[in-house]
Amino acid sequence: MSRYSEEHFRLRPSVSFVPLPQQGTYQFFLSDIRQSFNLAFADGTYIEILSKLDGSMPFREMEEAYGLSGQQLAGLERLFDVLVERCAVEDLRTVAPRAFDPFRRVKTFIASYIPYHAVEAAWERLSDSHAVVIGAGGVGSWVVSMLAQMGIKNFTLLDDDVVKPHNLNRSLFTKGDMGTLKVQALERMLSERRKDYYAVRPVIEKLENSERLLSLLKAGRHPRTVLINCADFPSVAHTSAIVNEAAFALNLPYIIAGGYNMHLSLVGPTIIPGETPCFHCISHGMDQLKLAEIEGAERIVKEHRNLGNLAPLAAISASFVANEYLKLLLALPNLKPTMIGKRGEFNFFTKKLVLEEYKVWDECPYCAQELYYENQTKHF
Amino acid sequence: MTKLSEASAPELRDGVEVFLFPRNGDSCQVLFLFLSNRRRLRIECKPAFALLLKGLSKTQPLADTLKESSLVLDDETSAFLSFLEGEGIITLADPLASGQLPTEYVEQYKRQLYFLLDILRSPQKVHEVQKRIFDAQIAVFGLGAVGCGILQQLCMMGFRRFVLIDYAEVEANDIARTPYRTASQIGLPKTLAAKALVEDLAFDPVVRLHNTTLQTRTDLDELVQGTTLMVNTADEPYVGYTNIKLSRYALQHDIPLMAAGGFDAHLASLGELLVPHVTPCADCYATYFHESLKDWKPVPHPVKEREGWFGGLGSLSAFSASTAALDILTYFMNPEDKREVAGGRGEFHFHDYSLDTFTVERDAHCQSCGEGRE
Repeated sequence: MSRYSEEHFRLRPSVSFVPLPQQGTYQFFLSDIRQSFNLAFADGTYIEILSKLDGSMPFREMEEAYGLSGQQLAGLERLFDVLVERCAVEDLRTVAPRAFDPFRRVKTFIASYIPYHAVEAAWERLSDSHAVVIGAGGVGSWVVSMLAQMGIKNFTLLDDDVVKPHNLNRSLFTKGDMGTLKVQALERMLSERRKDYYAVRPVIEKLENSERLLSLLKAGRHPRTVLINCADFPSVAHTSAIVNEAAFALNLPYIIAGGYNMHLSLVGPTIIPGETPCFHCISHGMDQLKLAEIEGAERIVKEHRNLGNLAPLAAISASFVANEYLKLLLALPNLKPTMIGKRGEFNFFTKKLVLEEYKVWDECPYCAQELYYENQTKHF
Repeated sequence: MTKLSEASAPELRDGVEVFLFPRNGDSCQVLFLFLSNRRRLRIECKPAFALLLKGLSKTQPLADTLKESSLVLDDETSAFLSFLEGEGIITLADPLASGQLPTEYVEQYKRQLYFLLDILRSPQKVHEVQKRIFDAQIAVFGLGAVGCGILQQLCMMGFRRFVLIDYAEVEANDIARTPYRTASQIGLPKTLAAKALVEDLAFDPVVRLHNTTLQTRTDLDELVQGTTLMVNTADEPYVGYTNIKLSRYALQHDIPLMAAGGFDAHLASLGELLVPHVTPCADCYATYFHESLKDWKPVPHPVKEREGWFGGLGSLSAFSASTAALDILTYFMNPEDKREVAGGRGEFHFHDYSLDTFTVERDAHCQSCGEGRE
């Protein structure tokens, strides 16, 4: 008896099954993620089965329906092993309840990376994670919205500012939010999306030091926490150093968002303590690059600058943060966070993302101390 | 241009960083870095002008700045200051001052005006662009994940007059990709939910609604009268059909059409701005894809009801919506210089963030916009 006996396999609706010029070779095109793989079939029966694979027939009936020999049946089982693993087929009984699920689009998307039987558990881990968003302004507000759209339930939001008219051109606040604390406006936004689903912990403070951040994180300890730095006051370097300190102390991954003043189209790095270059490694690498261009030059600085910004650039920067968050939480070997050891500039004329790569700095006070990690407990 | 005088107070613009390199003989090298678009400009100038640049970082009358750098307002200094102004490095007067736009509107969108100043370099041009945005009427077909995302960003960029067209109602699963208030709006026509979104965000909004779907007999004159630009995200019956119907109308009436990406199977794709008789039209695109995909013929899908079974993320829809919003802004920045609008499309890859772009040329024999047209 096959382990697939009761499975009602169907070709996933977003997958195209395409004959290629080479005889018997077919492409499986996973259109959601624009990736494909090819298989060559020596036996046309399998092509016939896949062409009719609509989920109406259980595996156990296929032997009779298609007149399969014992060898062909064993071959079909091996074929389904591959197609399940490569996310080209799914069991209709398993996925059918998803039709009524508000987050079905998200689940179906991750089902292009995770076999159908593991999707629900993966999404539960994702949704029950905890995003600590530091800075609820132009990019932070979009990040919160996009993570909530993925189904993330738990948020700690850190910001002490109130909504002002000039925030409306790129932050996700409304005219009705004017004068309200930004974290409270975002909490209300989430409750208007789905009542009693999101758990928001508003912290009405500016990020001042790592000790305070550590005590906040220890008080609201959650097994799957990701820190996201969207705070650029007094500078991103300053806030990122604080986040880095706390992240290393608790062994938590963090993402430095881009899109802040002076770096409107920046896509920031994703950092896993002990595994990837950290903020200090990347800063050091950037200094080396920057020095070549402005070495010896005097920088003229104006105080109290009013810098430009734009809604689509904030949204684009935030979209990369949300994508990275998903990749971090899924922790799949075939979908690692792209921004590990990287920093990117999104060119808003060409729409291309140009990435710079950074390595671990061999004198980094955090990453160069390999022994530092020996007794750390991994959260991922 | 504001007249230069010793009493005027030209000032280094906030969006530019200035790096002065050490004096080398009789000249100094200066690097200007424009923060919004990372443009770099290098010049060589006499050392006194380098000192002048330092003085321009302070808010003070030009007379004081000139004195600090031992300069007088002669032809050479005036020419240097004019050069700086022309390059968008200094402003001679408050760049936000405008007689064309309401004060509250300027306050709400001032950060965008600063951004535009980085690109356009001239406060006058910035106000002209923003006034065009203020006056424009945009018709948005389809108010789902990408359509309402574009609408949201257009409001955030200062657009305020809209015609909204959709037949559907808000559903529970809209929580995953739209900003609608799904806790209370399920069952509400999307046009009404989108209207509420506009009223939440836009300055002095003016909205017309049509609860309808695009069909062969749909009278577009009635729907989009007075429209400056159309946005299409309607995928019923399918997006290829709605793009072609709207594109043909756009050609007849000389209205640009943003055929947005981000639909099923193209979750974060770039759309294309179709400018009549300048870029390829939707028929040119259809011909291009028909030709380029002629050898790629999937087996008819065994699952007959596939609607709703494609994946999606809010972040991917937002990416498509944002790139469409950028294209629309670029169009409003350069309505005369239509070379700025390039034909093409791009597919975003989630796994590595690469963007697979390709250019589509106008089809000379196109029945709608080429020699073949009737």
